[in-house]
Amino acid sequence: MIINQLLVDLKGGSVKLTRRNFVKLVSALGASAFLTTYKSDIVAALEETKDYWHIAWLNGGACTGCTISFAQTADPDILQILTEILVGNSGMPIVLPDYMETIHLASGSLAEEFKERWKRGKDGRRILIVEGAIQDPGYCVIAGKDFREHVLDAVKYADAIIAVGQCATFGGIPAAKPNPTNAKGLADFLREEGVNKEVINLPLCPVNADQLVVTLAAVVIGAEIELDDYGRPKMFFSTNMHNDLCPYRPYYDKGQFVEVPGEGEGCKYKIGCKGPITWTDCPLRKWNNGTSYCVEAGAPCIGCSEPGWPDEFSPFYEEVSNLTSAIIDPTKLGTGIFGATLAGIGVHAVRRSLKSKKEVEENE
Amino acid sequence: MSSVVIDPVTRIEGHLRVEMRTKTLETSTGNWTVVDEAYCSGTMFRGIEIILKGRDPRDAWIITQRICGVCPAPHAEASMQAIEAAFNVKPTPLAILVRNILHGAYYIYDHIIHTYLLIGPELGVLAKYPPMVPPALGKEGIAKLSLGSSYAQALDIQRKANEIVAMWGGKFPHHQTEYPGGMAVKPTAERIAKTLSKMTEIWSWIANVMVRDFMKILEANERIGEAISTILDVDFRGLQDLGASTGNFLSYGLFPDHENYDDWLSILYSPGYRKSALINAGAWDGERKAFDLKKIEEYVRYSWYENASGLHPSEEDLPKPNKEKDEAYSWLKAPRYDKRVYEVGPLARMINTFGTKWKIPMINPVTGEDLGYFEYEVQNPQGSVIDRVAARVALTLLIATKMFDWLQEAKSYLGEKVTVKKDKVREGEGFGLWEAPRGALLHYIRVRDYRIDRYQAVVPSTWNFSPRDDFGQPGAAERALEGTWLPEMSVAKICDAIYPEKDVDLSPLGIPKKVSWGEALAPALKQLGLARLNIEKVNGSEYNTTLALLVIRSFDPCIACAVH
Amino acid sequence: MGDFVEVERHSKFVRVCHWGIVITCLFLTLTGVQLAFGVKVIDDAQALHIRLGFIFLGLWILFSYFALTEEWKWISPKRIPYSVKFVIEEAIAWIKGDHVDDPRAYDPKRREYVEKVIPSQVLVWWTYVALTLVIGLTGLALYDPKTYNFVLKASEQLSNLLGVDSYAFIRATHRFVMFLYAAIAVTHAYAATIFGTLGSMIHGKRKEKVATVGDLKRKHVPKAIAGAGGR
Ligand code: HEM
Ligand code: HEM
Ligand code: NFV
Ligand code: SF4
Ligand code: SF4
Ligand code: F3S
Ligand SMILES: [Mg+2]
Repeated sequence: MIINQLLVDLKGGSVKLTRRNFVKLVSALGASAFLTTYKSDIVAALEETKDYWHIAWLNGGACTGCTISFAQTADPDILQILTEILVGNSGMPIVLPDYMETIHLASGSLAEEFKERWKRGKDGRRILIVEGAIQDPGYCVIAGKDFREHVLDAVKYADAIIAVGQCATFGGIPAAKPNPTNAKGLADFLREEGVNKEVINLPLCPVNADQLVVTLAAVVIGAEIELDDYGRPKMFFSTNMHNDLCPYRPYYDKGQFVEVPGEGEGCKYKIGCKGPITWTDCPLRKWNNGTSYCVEAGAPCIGCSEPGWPDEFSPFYEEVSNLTSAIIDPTKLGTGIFGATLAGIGVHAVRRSLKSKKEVEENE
Repeated sequence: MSSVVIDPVTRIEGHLRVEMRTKTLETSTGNWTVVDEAYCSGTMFRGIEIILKGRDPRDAWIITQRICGVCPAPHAEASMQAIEAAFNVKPTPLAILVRNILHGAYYIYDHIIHTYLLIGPELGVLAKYPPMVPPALGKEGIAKLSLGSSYAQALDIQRKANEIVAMWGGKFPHHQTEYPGGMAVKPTAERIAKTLSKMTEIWSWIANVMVRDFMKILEANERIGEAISTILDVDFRGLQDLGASTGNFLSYGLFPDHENYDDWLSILYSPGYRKSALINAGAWDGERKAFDLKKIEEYVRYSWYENASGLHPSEEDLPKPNKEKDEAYSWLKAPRYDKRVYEVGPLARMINTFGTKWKIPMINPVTGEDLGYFEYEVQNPQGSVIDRVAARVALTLLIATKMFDWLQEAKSYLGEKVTVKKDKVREGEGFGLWEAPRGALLHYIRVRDYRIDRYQAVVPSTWNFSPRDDFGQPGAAERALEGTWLPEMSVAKICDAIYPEKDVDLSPLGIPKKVSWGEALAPALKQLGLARLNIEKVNGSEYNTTLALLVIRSFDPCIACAVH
Repeated sequence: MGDFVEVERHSKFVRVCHWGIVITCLFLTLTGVQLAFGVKVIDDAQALHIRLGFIFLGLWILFSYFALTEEWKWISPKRIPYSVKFVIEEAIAWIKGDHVDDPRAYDPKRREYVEKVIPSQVLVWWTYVALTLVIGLTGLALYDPKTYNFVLKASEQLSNLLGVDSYAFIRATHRFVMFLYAAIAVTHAYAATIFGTLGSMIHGKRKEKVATVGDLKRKHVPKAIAGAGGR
């Protein structure tokens, strides 16, 4: 396989980062390992463009967790990204006149003016990042203008659009039943508004910083990002947690399960792990500078990379096969039917044997 | 009178609009514009409480975490404690220690982020203190002028603190390892050892850099006070005379004692102090008073909801949003204690636990090196910008030090049960009372037929940024903004007014020249498109909102929290 | 009392297939239970389960091939309504403490069955087919969700209706059908025992009743029988 060959070459340190093998390398290594291995190559590749990339990061129906997650990048860290990488050699720093409410310096009317400057940024170099869901009019208003308008306006100028986190991709928690504000993901919103532009979806709750950095790097160096049916980069979201990646899989196969959270070793299936219905590379990539991820820390995966989350993945502590339990629990119903059958047979058999005894007696 | 509006307020979490009606202050030196009345509006609503209804109660803590990605961990904890109260199950002592470790690390991150990234830039600029000014000249600026050196380190240290959260929680934001009756994470010697090694670095940074940076600001504060007093000809001591609020401070207590969880729980049933916890509960109104859960009510007259006003959280219905409601101007409700306005947050925690004089020993927990004390006396009994910042620094130090005790203690519990599992209850209700970084946090859950029947969260920023209540009392921040000066000059001009001397040496940058602080800032700001930083234009006049923003940010607003 | 004649009821091929199915099914259930509930059976339950799954499906294909080509007239779906009526009659008779006469009979002159299977077994057969199809398809979808994506797609509407992920639905269905399978299997095994055909599935031979013209005219036999069975 190409990937295996790549890994062998990697160990020998012979693979150079190019636009063409970018995606393959990320899939082979997982985002965090890729970033540490290729940091200097990325920086070099980006510095070659010697050009400032304009980023507007908009927050809608969000919790700002994705911003905070982004701030956890380690190698490169967020300061390097914003001062060295994304700006090339311009020397312009974190407070650049781009838009990112949670960290940039401007407030009030100057902040709104920052958005206008982003729009006037160089053609082909404007990235729009959206965090948070898009809601019905009136539920999110910034500077007197509905968030929907802010988005529609910015989308016109964006050369690449990245939706970060569950909320901006698939609606997330705000869109959970009964969806009080009719929240939805960016791609759905644009489709409804008749805007035909590609959105790169980076779900998970929150977005994984390494995935975002890799995606930004891919956009900037012009590497082609292949997307799946849900707009997610295949390099991150095409492996099944449970079948392809989980290090606890041998426990599952042996039937060794954790039954009380925090007690014992084993697979987390019985405390609700949604790995079997989740397609991410969490076990490879992990979180917070490659520190850990949900299952490694002892928790069940709750499937935050998937459309339909959380409703189709809850109750979170319910086994995957029992998820229909709100209506029917297949195990209980199944055991019931099987038990009733056995009972029926039992009754039949007992009556039959009594009757045959009687017949024998009569014949005597 | 005119109306100065800041919308959006940035470097906070969420969507906040602040409107300030002004009045004129006449003094011997001239006519000055100050804030007469302020109106704070939260402008985004999601309805998380509505979303919770009908779900498995155990899912609540995972969903309520998503109320806010800046402070997910406290929501998780308050929610989990509410669930445990409803399920009638207690976490094991080992679980309590693990929770303290996880949440302790979380706290360190949060207070650092606020002190440096959110409120820091204005403090650094006003204090003429380059390490706290954002690294506007990148790596070179950090190396040559120390411009942003602390800011850059803060980013690094907060990340390391969160790596501890991830180690015990799987990831941050939104950790995943709590469970009713304990924790899903297995405490191991390895996890403890790794945490200790990270904490060693974090502790020294806090003691040596964060505390030092604060002392520098404190020094500069006198200068700021003198300068503003002269300009305005009023008695203005400095940032302690900026942002005074009601002087009522509420705290629910934080970090329970793993051997005395009953004391921790007692407050749910009768008034108390949670004295055994690291941070106590209390309702300070000039003196220490026991906290009484029954005295909390939420008012909605000025909020965009159709709900009944003035109810206890256990009696409130799910929110019924109505954006057209008369008089209303915010998605926040107005929580009140004993019908009065209380401030919550780090200052409230410190005052309710230690009174107004604090003395925290700084002995390196690893090397034993004695760095003396962090000492501070609250300078304004009504609260103020500088007191709030001081409390945040003090708590960061206090918690970082305490982390070592919890880790040590956890070692001795290794091998014991971390979870006594409890999965469900048919009927039940419970409160979780915890301190989030921004203040007192309450979650309430009611379970009927194994499902969530009603959920209510009353959140720190709701207290601090509430609109007016039914009695017309403005919220804590609205009140704190009253009287704030809105100078009609640029940021660079303000700096020049405070520091006229030309002593900023630009030669490290290859410019053989000494200029004043304002002269150094002006071209940098201009180049960055920030010449009009914090300026709002109203009817031809230009007001500088820097001081107002300092007041607002001193409360560390989180509007996703406040509205939920 | 009628006469009896010993005939080869089941060929070796059928018997081997049948017991092959029985054995793989048993181990599939055991390993399946381990996968689902952690009842320890063997170290790598997953690998065994999937391998057996394919053998099981293969045997079923052979078995079905045989049924289609050789036994179709006994089990064709046309006989389902008749079988249902038979089962109802049987049940009513059973409650009354009576029982329906065994319709099976063999015509030695023509060397063929007049009626080979107890009509209730027709229903068992079709239930087996349906369940096997479902458990097989869901099993394949669990095994390789990409290749067998059509299974997920096909079930999507139903799973949407239930508000769960389609893969979770497939998993729940696979598990549920296991129980149904077990229920059918025990009923079927019990029926085989009481109708005295167990031996014929082992050594192939059974003493069958010799058919008389009267067999077709018994008044308790539902009308549907006439003309419906293998003539
Ligand atoms: C009588 C036949 C079968 C029975 C009773 C059976 C039973 C089960 C059960 C109970 C599970 C566990 C499901 C859960 O976790 O809830 C399972 C899983 C599975 N079965 Fe079957 N199964 C049967 C046939 C098959 C067949 C024909 C295949 C196809 C190749 C198959 C493939 C699988 C796979 C791939 C899994 C998932 C294993 C995993 O977790 O990765 N099964 N089966
Ligand atoms: C899941 C497991 C099983 C499957 C799929 C299965 C399937 C079948 C099928 C389709 C037939 C019909 C053959 C025909 O019409 O000639 C059959 C017949 C038979 N099966 Fe099974 N069987 C299973 C389990 C068992 C078990 C456990 C037993 C015995 C204890 C058994 C005993 C028999 C016998 C005796 C016959 C012949 C019935 C007859 O000739 O009417 N089977 N089986
Ligand atoms: N207010 C608030 Fe939070 C905090 N700290 C809280 O519960 O910020 Ni997002
Ligand atoms: S169920 Fe979860 S923990 Fe278990 S093997 Fe699958 S992904 Fe891993
Ligand atoms: S393991 Fe699951 S819950 Fe955890 S981050 Fe990954 S997808 Fe989300
Ligand atoms: S819940 Fe928060 S973390 Fe992102 S995906 Fe949504 S904004
Ligand atoms: Mg509430």
